[in-house]
Amino acid sequence: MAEANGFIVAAYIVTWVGLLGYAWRLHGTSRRARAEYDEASRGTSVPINGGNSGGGARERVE
Amino acid sequence: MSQAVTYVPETSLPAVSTPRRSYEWLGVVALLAVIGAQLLGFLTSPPDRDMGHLQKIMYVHVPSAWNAFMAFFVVAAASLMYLWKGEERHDLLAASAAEVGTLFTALTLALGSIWGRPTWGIWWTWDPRLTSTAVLLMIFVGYLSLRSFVDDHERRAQWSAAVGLLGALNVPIVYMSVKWWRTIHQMQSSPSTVDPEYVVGLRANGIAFLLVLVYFILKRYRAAQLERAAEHLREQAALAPEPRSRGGRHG
Repeated sequence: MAEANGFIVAAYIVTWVGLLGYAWRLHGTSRRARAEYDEASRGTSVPINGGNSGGGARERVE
Repeated sequence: MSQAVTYVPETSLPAVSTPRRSYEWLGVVALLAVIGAQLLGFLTSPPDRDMGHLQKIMYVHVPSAWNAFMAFFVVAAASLMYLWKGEERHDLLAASAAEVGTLFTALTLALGSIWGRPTWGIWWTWDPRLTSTAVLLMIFVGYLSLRSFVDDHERRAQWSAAVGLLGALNVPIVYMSVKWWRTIHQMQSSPSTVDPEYVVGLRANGIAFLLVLVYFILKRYRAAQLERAAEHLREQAALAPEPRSRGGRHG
């Protein structure tokens, strides 16, 4: 009985470690992706009245 | 007017959006649902005649397997859509679902192993169900490795779609393996095959795990969209003319 309980506890610990571990990793991935995107956006942004919108370009508001 | 505007030539605009919408509320709901469902499973189900309380492992093992199957179904559907339409968002969705499906396949195998030791007396055996699930895991580990090794976006998406479809074809084999071959694994567990005393717990955990699956895929997909859009912007910046010539005509 005690041995069975050990396996049940182990199974639930593995489940929670797996789910929370991945959620934590995902949180980091999302934050990094947002930061990367914001940095890349800053690198290519120009003021609204300071750029050339002609020649096949279009505006994208962030 | 304080908004910043990015000028990007039509030809190089990313085919992905970069929404700021958050799905954190879904994560909280999923977390509470899993806690509630596990409590329900523990409190409402009596010990099994043969396995005793080890039966409780079913509430995490079986929903993990269902989630893996559903994630790989999304991979197959999104891969087909990519091959048909060539839209990058389908490739990103397939990759996101593949990553989450790989997590749940690994969980399924680990939990099955923990369940197998006290019931079968072994941690692992080359049984058709276990082996086909391990093959499924290997295929999608390969899928994720492939994506990290190939730099060319289009080639990566095409190869991934092909591997994703082939991998997903293994899902029905895993599912039917307990019927097609002699196996020590029990028949598929579902509300129609388990004792009525366990149906509520199994359904509740199935729904709770489904919420986790949806949350994980959506969050990974959003991150993938941002990663890809950032790549596009960096490529765009590298190809753009000097700032002096870009900002020269105004007023």
